[in-house]
Amino acid sequence: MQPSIFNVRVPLRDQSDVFLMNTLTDAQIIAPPEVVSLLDSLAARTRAGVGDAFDPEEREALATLTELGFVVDSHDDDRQALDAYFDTIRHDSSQLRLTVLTTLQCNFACGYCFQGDHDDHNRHAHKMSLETAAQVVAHAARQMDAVRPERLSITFFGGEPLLNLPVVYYLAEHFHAEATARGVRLSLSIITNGLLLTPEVVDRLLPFGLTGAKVTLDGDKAAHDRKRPLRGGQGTFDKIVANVRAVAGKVAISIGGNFDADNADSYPALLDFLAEQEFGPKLAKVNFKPVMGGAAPATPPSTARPSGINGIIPLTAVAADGAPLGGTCMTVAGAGGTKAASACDTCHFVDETMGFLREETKKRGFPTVDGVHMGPCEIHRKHAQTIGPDGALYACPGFTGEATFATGHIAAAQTPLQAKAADRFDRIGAWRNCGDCSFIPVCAGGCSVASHTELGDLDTPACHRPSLESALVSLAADAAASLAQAPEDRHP
Amino acid sequence: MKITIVNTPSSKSNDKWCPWLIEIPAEIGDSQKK
Repeated sequence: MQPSIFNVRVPLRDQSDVFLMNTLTDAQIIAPPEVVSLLDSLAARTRAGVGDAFDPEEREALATLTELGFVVDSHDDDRQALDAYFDTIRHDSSQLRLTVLTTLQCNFACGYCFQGDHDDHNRHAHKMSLETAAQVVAHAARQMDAVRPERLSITFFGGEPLLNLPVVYYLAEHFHAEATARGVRLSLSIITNGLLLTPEVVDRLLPFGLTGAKVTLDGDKAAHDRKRPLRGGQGTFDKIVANVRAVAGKVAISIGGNFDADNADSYPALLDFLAEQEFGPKLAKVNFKPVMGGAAPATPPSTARPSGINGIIPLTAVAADGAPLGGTCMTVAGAGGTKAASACDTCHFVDETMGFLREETKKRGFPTVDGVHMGPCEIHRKHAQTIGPDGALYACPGFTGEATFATGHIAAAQTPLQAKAADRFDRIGAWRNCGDCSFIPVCAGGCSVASHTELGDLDTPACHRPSLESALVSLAADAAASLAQAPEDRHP
Repeated sequence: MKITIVNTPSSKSNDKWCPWLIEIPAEIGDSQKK
């Protein structure tokens, strides 16, 4: 009998109790120090053969802890349960998830995106044809027949997906017809810069299952207009906000944002602005993430309280040799560091600023991520695919355009190279190199695109443990606060 | 040894496809599991 390796704990402020979570089962409890002592002494007492000496109170506590997954027979059991968990994730057939890149063209010139550095990008960027769109629909139909999912989740992405509206409309209508014919629920969502997200577009897509759109605002108006201008240099903040205002009552809007040392200070002002808007309470989620490369800031932003010289993680859209990757809109980066698994050595700014902005977001009452439940992502799911504008299949949008990482094509037989890539992604598992880290079930070794581009190896963990730890502290505080508000509702 | 349960074990929803890189809100309407 041992404590699970997936137990994490946070002493609660101003009280002796401790918040305990098991990241594999997701069980969360608040317990007195005696329970922690019991867990800490468990292995030694079991080894010494004095397990029978547990008193009735201890036995009762152990029964509860075992039921919740905090106590296991052995760490082999932990490992087997983890393998089973990832196996369940990989083969989950309840949803077929397709991310469709309708075009790699973009009307923005974001400074942190490699597309913005290439004036002729749009002349060469792929755009999906209606013929390819028809093949995408046929592919989705075949997949639904094979997988038999309860739900088909479609995400339109790019580039800027709404620059190819004929294909977006065609796909929405035909996905809806094919899903309906099979009794499959369909949900459509769009990741867009928001400039073309008009009520007309939303109204056209709503009957076919549009559920949400994610729009990016890179700080307050001044910061955003500096970061995300049109290709002609004009600001975009006012137009995007006007669109959000017009559609927020029709469809769930998620606000994202990409921060770096240059604009991190401006996010509290953006949050204040959003909180003042009539559509503020309608926002489904607000969540900001790091972006870009380059040197560390000489003067870190005061409000973000970054630690020391460590800088911003490099842009993952650009490979280690500086060459741009395929062309997906890469709004955020993953790991820091360039050498080894200890990527967090250069991630302090990112991790601390993520935590700071998450708390600022929560403070204003917006729904946001808790920062602990972070994975596993779609790359760990067999029935999740990204489809490029040319019909090539990928395990995730981050590998779009890298021919050696294509896993197939929607309308052609799999080549040996694609079969090799598919097999590679079938066996993916940076988390196997994470030792006994307690956060493996909610992290899975981090972003594989970051592992590939930054660390040169898909199976090298892109570690952001400090971010997970700070989020856990926040989660514990929230749990304690919610119990304080309604204590009698939570006792077993 | 009073243990107060905040959240019981269940299958995780893990509805966030891409936490670090790109947030894909396909399940944007789903409640986030805690």
